[in-house]
Amino acid sequence: MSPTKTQNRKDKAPEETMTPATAGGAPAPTIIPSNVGTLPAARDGAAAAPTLSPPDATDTGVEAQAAELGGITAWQTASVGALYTTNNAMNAWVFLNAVGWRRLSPTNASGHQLMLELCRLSRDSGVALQVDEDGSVIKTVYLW
Amino acid sequence: MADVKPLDLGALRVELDRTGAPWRSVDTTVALLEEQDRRRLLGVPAPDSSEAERLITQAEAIAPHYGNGNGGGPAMVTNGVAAIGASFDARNVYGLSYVTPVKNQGGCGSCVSFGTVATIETTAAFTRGQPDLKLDLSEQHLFFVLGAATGASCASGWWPEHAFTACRDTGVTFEDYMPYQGGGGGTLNPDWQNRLAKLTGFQTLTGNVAAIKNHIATRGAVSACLIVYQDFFSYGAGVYKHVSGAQAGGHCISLVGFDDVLGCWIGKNSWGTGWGEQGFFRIGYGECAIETWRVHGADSVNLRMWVDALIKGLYATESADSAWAYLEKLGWARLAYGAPGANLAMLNELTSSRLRSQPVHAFHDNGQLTTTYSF
Repeated sequence: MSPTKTQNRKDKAPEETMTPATAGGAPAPTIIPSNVGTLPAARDGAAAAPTLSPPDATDTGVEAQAAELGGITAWQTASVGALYTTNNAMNAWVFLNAVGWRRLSPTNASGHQLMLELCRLSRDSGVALQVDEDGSVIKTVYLW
Repeated sequence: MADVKPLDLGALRVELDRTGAPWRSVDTTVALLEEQDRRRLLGVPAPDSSEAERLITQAEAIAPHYGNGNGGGPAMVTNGVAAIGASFDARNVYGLSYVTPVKNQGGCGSCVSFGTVATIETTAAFTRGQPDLKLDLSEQHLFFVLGAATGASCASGWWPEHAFTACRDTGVTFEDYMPYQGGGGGTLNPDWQNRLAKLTGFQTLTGNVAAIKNHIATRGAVSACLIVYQDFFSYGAGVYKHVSGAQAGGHCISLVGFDDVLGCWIGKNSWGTGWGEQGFFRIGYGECAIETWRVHGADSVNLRMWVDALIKGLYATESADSAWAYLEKLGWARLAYGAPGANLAMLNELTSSRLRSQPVHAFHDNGQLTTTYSF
């Protein structure tokens, strides 16, 4: 089952259907609230431990450490406009404002729930997320 | 050292003038002490004269001579360690200081405890990238409890390697759990094992200048011992080089930086802020066997303690139990993951604290939050 409503856009038809290959047979959201952005370049890898520091932290060394890891140097930053789940295992999606729908990685049920919790907080508070994604699948989430 | 002559400030200043005044001699709080009280501060059993001569000669051989100490000499040899900068100062790393305030050991030969604790405090802050960590560990616990078990006393002093071993194997509690008294006694808080700093390991760096500099630049500090001459007591500013006076004993301090241009180490002493450069000092490379006697550095510092902190960031990945929280002034800590669902439950709690900008009361155990309260 797919989402049938778009917040603040009830009077408009869906603008575009996304069919990411990573959906793996489970339904994907079909309604895009607004402002579809371009897809970021896919990147590999998700660090086992956080490597970034809060924007206002006094720490000056961790970002450099992250850069040294290689490959994880650019991040997508956006607030969450909507969430989407279905009666399927690990099939939560998040709408990143000005970016689009992204699926939370279905690799592990625990990790899936943890990332969804941070997305929920972003949805409730308006605080932007910083995410690392691979092929439109979110694999790492920071919330500052 | 029973035949040591007391400090003669007048003669010293004449000699400093004659040698181009590489550093300034002043009436420091230590210089004004009686001779027996000054020597009581030196808590590393001094080597015999032949061993002292060997150590000093070795130190002088591996460090270039800088004439009057005003720079212009070659950089120190750094074989084996690449890309060490020409200078480093843990008190000013991109404008931030990772060095805790200067303390005063009082009339006790407990310098090993102070030099070790100062080094651990700096390493704990620097390796976490947290200049506001403000860790304050108990020299009293280290010296009069852990040290006493291996023979340490105000009169006999102690050995740095024993202090580092104790900090690795047992750990040292915080100052508020056993405040320093300058002598034996005091009461160790029975909860001390829940308020503890413990080393993951330590390195012996003696005689390896490149490794010493690399450790300082990557861990913030090392502890070092030097053979103290009488003129050191009156050090007020500049780059110290032995000018006059006999050997008075052995002393342990923390090195928190170096400067190849000036050809010196930057040290943190434990004689209060009335000595040296507000308690710090600079000493020329190769002086007083500072590189060749006893040099040790901590690998990293595990902390076990209750904290009250704002949640500045949260983190999760696609992996199981992968949630972390960034605690203000402490850095990243992994949320509990010892039981199914614990990680998510704690994340739920902390997102609430984050949303309300309320501090969380949490038990931090070696980089993991094992218990949290949100009120």
